[in-house]
Amino acid sequence: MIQQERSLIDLSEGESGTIRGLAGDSPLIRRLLDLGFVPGTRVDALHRAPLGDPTTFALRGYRIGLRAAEACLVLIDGGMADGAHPIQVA
Amino acid sequence: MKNARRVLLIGNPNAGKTSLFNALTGEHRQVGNWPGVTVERLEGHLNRSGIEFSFLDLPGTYSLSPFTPEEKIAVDALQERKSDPDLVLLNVLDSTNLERNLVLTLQLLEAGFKPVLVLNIADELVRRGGRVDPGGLSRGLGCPVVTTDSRRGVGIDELYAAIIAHQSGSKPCELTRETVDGSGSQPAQPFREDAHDRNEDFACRQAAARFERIAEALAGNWTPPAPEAGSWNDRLDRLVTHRWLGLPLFFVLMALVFWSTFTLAAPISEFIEEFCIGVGDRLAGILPAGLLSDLVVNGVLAGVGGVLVFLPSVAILFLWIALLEDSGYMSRAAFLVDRLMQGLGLHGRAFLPLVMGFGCNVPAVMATRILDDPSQRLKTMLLIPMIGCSARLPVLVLLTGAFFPQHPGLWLFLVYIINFILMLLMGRIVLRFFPITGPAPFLLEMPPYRLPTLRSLVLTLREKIGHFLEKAATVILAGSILIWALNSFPREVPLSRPFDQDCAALAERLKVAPEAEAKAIRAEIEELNSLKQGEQMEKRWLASIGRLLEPIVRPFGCGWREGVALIPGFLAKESIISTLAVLYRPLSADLGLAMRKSGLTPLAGLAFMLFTLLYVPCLPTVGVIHRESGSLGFTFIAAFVPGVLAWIVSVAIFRIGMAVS
Repeated sequence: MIQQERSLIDLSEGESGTIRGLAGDSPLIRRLLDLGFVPGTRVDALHRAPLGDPTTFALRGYRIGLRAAEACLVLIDGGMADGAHPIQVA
Repeated sequence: MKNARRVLLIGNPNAGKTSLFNALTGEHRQVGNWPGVTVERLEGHLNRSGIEFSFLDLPGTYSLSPFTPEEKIAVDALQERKSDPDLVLLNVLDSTNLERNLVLTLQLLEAGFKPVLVLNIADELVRRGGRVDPGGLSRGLGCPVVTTDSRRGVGIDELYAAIIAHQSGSKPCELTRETVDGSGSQPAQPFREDAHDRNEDFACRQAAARFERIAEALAGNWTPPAPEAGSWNDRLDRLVTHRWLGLPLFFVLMALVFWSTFTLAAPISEFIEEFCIGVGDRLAGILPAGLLSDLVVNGVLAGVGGVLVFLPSVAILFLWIALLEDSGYMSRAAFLVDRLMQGLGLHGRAFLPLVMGFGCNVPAVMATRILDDPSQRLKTMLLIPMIGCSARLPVLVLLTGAFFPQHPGLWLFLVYIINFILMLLMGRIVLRFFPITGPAPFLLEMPPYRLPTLRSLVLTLREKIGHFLEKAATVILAGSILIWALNSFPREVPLSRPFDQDCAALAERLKVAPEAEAKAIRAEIEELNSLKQGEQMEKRWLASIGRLLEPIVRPFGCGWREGVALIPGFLAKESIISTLAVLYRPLSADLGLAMRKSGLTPLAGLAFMLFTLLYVPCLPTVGVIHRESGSLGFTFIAAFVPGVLAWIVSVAIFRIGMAVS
């Protein structure tokens, strides 16, 4: 069991992860589920805003920006899913 | 069979719902607000081949579990009409993004609705290398499916046919076995907080089951567009959100928007103003001199001019907003500056209206429409009147020049800094006392970049101008006439000398005077006229009421003339200077000198500057705030709270300054 749970905010630009679960239950969590953040889904971190927050993610063929406050609720498996290396976005 | 169809459009944001609505209804559309909220409501009624169609566009929603106030409107409206036998529910889908879009569709099916599925933006799917089989999807989900490209009006006739057929029952829509199975094993209650829903596993399993069900329905029937990496959409996205280039690009674009909205519009506004003055002069020549002529020229026409001068700015700004919004850049802009706005408890999108406020508060308040969340809109509307617009600048420039001739720029800057701090204060503290702010989680979809269509630009523009004229115009016009009346009655006031006779005598002399003397005589006539104007103003209602305001300005060292100037300043801030000039005329032609002569200290001048900046938004701004918020109470708060804050600070500055010096 990993002590420190990884979430979407731990992804650097260009990294991707697979959703393991969501932290807790709230209208926000249910919304994230409806938006396709369900376990097993692959999420790519695309761009972090110049001021450090929010971050754009890609999943299920579309792009969505989440603030750190929301992104930390989506828990993920290892940062480099499928053994892929992080791609550095210029 | 009744010949009526009540059509509801429901779908995810960015699915092209509004453009589909436009394509379906054409000219027959009406824009209003949902009762009690600041969310736009689009309706359309028309008759086509003997059938009465009524269309209603629901706010965009991702799910039937409402999350934002806007989505709650959509869900409530749907719930209300559930038992309407003439209801046809159009579920508008973005064909390029079906996986996520179909979640709402499944929820509709689970709730017992029988929607017609509209595969919109189908052209883009094909262009990007995707494919969709409407027949297969229709069989898979058990719903009629129509393919459309709403931006070009493709598939609209077929959609009408489907709406008619759907109602007449020739294509009965029954829930297929799979649909029932998909939800039947886990009964979904999208409209109610189900006890089960608090169980996170349940919510999670339910969502996962829906996506599995969607994958089944799409298998073989839909090929997603090719991956975006390397596409121009992707490259553009990388550029505009770039760590180093993103913000500079954004600020250049904002500067361009600002410049064109105010600088480019200025000559047009000036032309309109001069045109109104010209018409006024002509009318004054035609109408017999007296009260009626005065009312028409100085009351009504001045008011009409006061409305029309805003039009160029409103039009240009909304053209920009439509362009930025339709192209998809607005989401990126919000993404870039969201961090800055978080400090004010605002969404990244609030940036544009706030920046526009520096030009003019009126289009800025109207621009809050780009915020989807009503509480965010109200919050932004509260802050906009505290932004020093361009009409306040000349007042400040003149007063700093008069009181701080050594370093006017420095003091001007200081006033703006204090103003900015007060705005932060308003954002942070005062808002806490007004329960208008809900939690505003940030889920910002980044739609693909799309070229805006001329049709949607024209429609938006026409509507915004219509909105502005409809409500703001009446308020501005009424205010203009009221101020005119206050400054025109009582008609006859006792004057210190027979100005008219003296002027007439001078005019007689002018007729025979040699050229060298004529100049001096003209100057004397002008002098007499302005002295007369000053004396008249001093004795009319405006000044009587203004004197009642003296207790407000007295604590920071100002006198009755400043109090009087506040009244016309409410109509338009720039009137403060012209009013002060008339009132101080008997003391000196130089306003600054006259103010100092009357005993005003630079400290009082500073306090007055700060107070005039914030004491109340101008009447047109109040008018649009009322129009946009739909609430008198809110308008009252937005109009007066900044003034109270400004008063406290002005008095504090004056008192502290007095104590120190």
